[in-house]
Amino acid sequence: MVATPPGDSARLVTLLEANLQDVAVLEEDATPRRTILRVSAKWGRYRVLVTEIISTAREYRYYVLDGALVIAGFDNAADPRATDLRYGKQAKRHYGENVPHLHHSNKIGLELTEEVTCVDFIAWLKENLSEAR
Amino acid sequence: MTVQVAIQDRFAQMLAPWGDLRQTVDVALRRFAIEQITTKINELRRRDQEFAVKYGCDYEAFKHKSARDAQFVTNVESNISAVWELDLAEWQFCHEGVRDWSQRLQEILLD
Repeated sequence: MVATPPGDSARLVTLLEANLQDVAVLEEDATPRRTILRVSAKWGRYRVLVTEIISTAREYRYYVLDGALVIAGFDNAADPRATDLRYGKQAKRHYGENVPHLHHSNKIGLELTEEVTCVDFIAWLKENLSEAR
Repeated sequence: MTVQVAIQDRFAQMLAPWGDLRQTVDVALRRFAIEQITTKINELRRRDQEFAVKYGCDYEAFKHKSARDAQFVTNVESNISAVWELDLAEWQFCHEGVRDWSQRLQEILLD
């Protein structure tokens, strides 16, 4: 069974529409075991790309782009650089695990974060890129 | 479990020559489900393949390398896509989706 009620995608889109501009659903689909929602939007001059996959776990990507530059990218992919940062010498044991992190400065910078929700991401936009609105 | 659905009279009449209406509708719905799932699997498989071409390896290889090899990730960001994580999420849905729907198809075929 799909791990999330079908209404969750609609709620997420409503949340994005209430806070960002030019919100467009790129994909909303489900299999018997997972759902995906991909959305593009604008935050002032920035392009925002949101992807959420819900299965037994939740995978997310919240990215802010300025042209080709990555201004910020929150995700919980199993990025080895994030795994190294979190676990140091023990990282090898944890490769493949999802690690929440933030890319910034066109991916030159990377820092660990807590799990981020779309609500958190929007709050971050308002706090850190308020001049773009 | 059964769910009641009203069938338009013209379809009921159309299906009458094949005998019991309920059985005929069950067969028709089963065929429809198989057709829809097959179409979905083919679409997801096509997208899975497109990502494999873009990244030069199959999903499992990319997932493995991108989770263990920082140099591989840096090369991908420099040469293929700076936002590969977005692609990987979509790729995951396509790849795993083929498996999800194939299992469902098998269940229907074996039922």
